[in-house]
Amino acid sequence: MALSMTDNKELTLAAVTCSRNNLELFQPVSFSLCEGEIIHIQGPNGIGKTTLLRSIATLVPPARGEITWSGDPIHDCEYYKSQLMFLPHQSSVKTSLTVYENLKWSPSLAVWPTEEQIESVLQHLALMTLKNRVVATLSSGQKQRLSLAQLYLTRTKLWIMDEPFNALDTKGVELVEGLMQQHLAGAGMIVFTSHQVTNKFSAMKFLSLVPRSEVM
Amino acid sequence: MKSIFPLIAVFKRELLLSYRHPMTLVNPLIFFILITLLFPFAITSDPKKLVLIGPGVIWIAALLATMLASEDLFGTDYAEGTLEQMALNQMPLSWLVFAKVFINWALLIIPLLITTLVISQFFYMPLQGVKILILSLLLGSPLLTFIGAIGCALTLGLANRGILLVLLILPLYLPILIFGAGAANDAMLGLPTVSQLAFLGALLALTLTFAPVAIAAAIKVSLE
Repeated sequence: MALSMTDNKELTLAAVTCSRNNLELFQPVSFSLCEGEIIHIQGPNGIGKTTLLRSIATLVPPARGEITWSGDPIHDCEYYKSQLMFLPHQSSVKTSLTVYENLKWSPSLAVWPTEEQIESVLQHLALMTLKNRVVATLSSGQKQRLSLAQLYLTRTKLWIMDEPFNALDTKGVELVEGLMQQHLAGAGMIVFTSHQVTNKFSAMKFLSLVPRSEVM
Repeated sequence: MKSIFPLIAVFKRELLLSYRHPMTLVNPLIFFILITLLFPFAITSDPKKLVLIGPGVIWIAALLATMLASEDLFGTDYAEGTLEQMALNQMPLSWLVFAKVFINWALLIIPLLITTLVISQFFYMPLQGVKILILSLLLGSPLLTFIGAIGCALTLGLANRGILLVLLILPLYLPILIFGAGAANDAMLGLPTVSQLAFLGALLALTLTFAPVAIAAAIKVSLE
């Protein structure tokens, strides 16, 4: 049970497959991701990309296989939870709070964001004019921007992003790509899904999910 | 060096949400007042009889009001995805749900106890009895809220969960009702009530210890 003391973090998936309604979704996948690396998970709709991401985020146990973080299994690992940030497909913000309140009292942060941090994030994402607007009145692209704003405030190592470019305009996509590059440069790690092709990242790994044959 | 920020954030968000949507707490309170106030009109105006039914009526109304308030404790958080983010926070989910349920209980029960003081006079209750009634509600209502929250967490994401929720938690409410209303009834007659109150207190200690863990486990299952 010894915790590995190495500084290098590594996410490893060994023959992992996920299931929905007791049906295995895709053929087992294996990969490992080191610091500064990014992996793009691809596949047609319904293949289980989101389920795989949710497994990596400890929300759903995988049907088979093992996911480890620097050698330790990720389930029941409180330390791993402090290292990850999961950005779901649907922006997770409270619609009856304002933009500012959502950032100030975000449920995904572990430490207090300072006023300056919040101001600069809002500035950066062009949400400053909407600061005191209730989220229910925002467009879906603006909501997505707000959801992404949490990435600026967190200091977690591993970002798990489900369709981060959804509903964003070209400028928004550029912003997010820039943010992801910055994260990688700071020895961060990213697992993401997207139907959009991005060529901004020099050393990007790809993983295509292959459907399981009908005969089990 | 763990920060208690997530706990404070939950507190603050719940306060803000109740401030934005006061009706989620005002509705159960109005419901409580209406039920209790209609009884003296419908049954009798005889003070002796009213004193006998009063504690039971107030307890039943408080129970139903709590059930009404806890029905959708996690519903919007679940739908908006913020419950998922809470589950992923490095602070254990059981702590966070404790904070959430506790603040919702406090926001409901404080006005409810104040109105009970007034309503008790419609039932001609003696002051000594009212004190015990308030005490029994103070001990019993957190039990109702936390057990209601377990039911709410278990039925997250199900269609038509209303009746299922009632069937699930009402049996668990019965002992609380029996001891709570029992204590208040005995107090009206000037009988000792220590045993019932002690029993409620014991149940409360037990529930506050285990309910948050059960709620957190139920939420994790619902999120899968």
